[in-house]
Amino acid sequence: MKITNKQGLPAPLVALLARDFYTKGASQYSVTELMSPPKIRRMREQYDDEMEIDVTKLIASQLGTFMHAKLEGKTVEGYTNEERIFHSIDGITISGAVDLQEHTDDGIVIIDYKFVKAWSVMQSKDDWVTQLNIYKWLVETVKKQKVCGLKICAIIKDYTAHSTQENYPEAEAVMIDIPMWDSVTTETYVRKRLDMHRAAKQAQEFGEDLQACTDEERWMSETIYAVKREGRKTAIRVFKSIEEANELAEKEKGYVEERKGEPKRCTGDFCGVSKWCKQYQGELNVTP
Amino acid sequence: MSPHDLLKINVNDHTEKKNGLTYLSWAWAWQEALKADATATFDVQTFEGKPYMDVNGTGMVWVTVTLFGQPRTCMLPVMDYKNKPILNPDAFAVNTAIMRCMTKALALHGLGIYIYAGDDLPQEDSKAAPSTEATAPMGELYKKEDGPKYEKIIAKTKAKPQPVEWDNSDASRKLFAEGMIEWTSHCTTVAGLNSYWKSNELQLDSLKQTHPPLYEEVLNCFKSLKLKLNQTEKPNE
Repeated sequence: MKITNKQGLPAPLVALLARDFYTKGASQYSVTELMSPPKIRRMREQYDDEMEIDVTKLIASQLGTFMHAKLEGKTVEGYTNEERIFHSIDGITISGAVDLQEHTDDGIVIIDYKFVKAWSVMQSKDDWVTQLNIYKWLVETVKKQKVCGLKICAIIKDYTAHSTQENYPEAEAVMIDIPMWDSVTTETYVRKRLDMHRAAKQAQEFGEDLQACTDEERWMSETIYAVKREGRKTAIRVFKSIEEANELAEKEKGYVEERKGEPKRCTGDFCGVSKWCKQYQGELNVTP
Repeated sequence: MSPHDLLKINVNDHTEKKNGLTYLSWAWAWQEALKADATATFDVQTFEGKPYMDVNGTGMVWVTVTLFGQPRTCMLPVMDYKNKPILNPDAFAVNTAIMRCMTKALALHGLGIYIYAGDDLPQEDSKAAPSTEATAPMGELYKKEDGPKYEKIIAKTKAKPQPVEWDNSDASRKLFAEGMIEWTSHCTTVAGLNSYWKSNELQLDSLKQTHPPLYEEVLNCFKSLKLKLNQTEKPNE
């Protein structure tokens, strides 16, 4: 991947940001890779030489990485910092880096640091649940130690004390309890994802089409209906259902504007390969 | 018969070759053990009620063979036909591993040990002394009576040619590629073909890196067969 510096940032900063801190050790799949869409992983590998990213886009993720690196060096009795655990399934090695393990009388509490915006904490945390439960499964399977709790330590980058939004985090950093899965559920999930990735890899080798990303994987937003009135810039109200929108529009003598849902991961090129993606490019070329 | 005599027995008529490795018949080997010492026993070690030790989800069996009052213990992973450890092994695989491990433990007593050492024939009398630094250079590292022999077997086994897919030589890579192509004739469905490819994924990845033209040959064979099978399975499309 090529890293550009369109803002002309000073070389030391560029060098620092461009440095790759992440390692998945000797494994073939990291936990987060396993969870990511197989199509994106394959395409990133295929277009790695052509992909480009501006160094400014690395700031947010690297700040988290720097904090992780600092925390890794902070040794406190009763805690194990940053441990990468490897496990082999059908000859394929997967690994997960557990940020922190707290050793208690009841077992291990797995803690994962997240450097996020307040918005992330207020959303559904499915990915966090999956990720931490895979760590739990790795600790129990490989280290043969009981895990008695899963927690996210969320550090809020854009915290404001005056927000009145529902579910807004109480402080700059909050601890979030994550529900635990049993090992069978987790292993089933891991094997399913591994199969998907291996099938995608094989399809790519055979020159076949990769399985399309799902709406969920594409971060597809919902289609909404805005009730508007002539002469007013902003919508009076926004609805998820067309019926409700029509009802209000009639009452307010306005009209309804449909705002189609969009695959935000693709439109924002968060996957990094949207310009080569037949699925996304094909949709762009379809006139409604 | 003495322990020393076991070293001299030629076991070649009771072996078979699989995946480039030589296996000695456990039934025949145990018969020889009983001939040598009618009180011979073998014990399988259990771990929390299981006849194998759990190693990251795979199994390791431990067998102790006692001959002439001397117990010798050996271990062996529960492996599939490619000699790779099996995850959550079933009873059949565990049983196979136990009998192989028992045979290996008999080798620690001398019976067929020359196979593990990579030789074609048992040692001559003059070379069959128990302390054999000349034939076992690694022996110096281990001083205990039982330790050296066992460790030497491990070392020798590792040094022996591994299943062809892990041998980097041109000849073995070619053999692997030819084998892959040849065995496609047994694949009659797309699912079977995919599964066959997937089972050899790591070796194929390695082949792609070390011998790209050979890899292309295998890949093209699979691709064309898949095309054919797809047409057979979906004749209307």
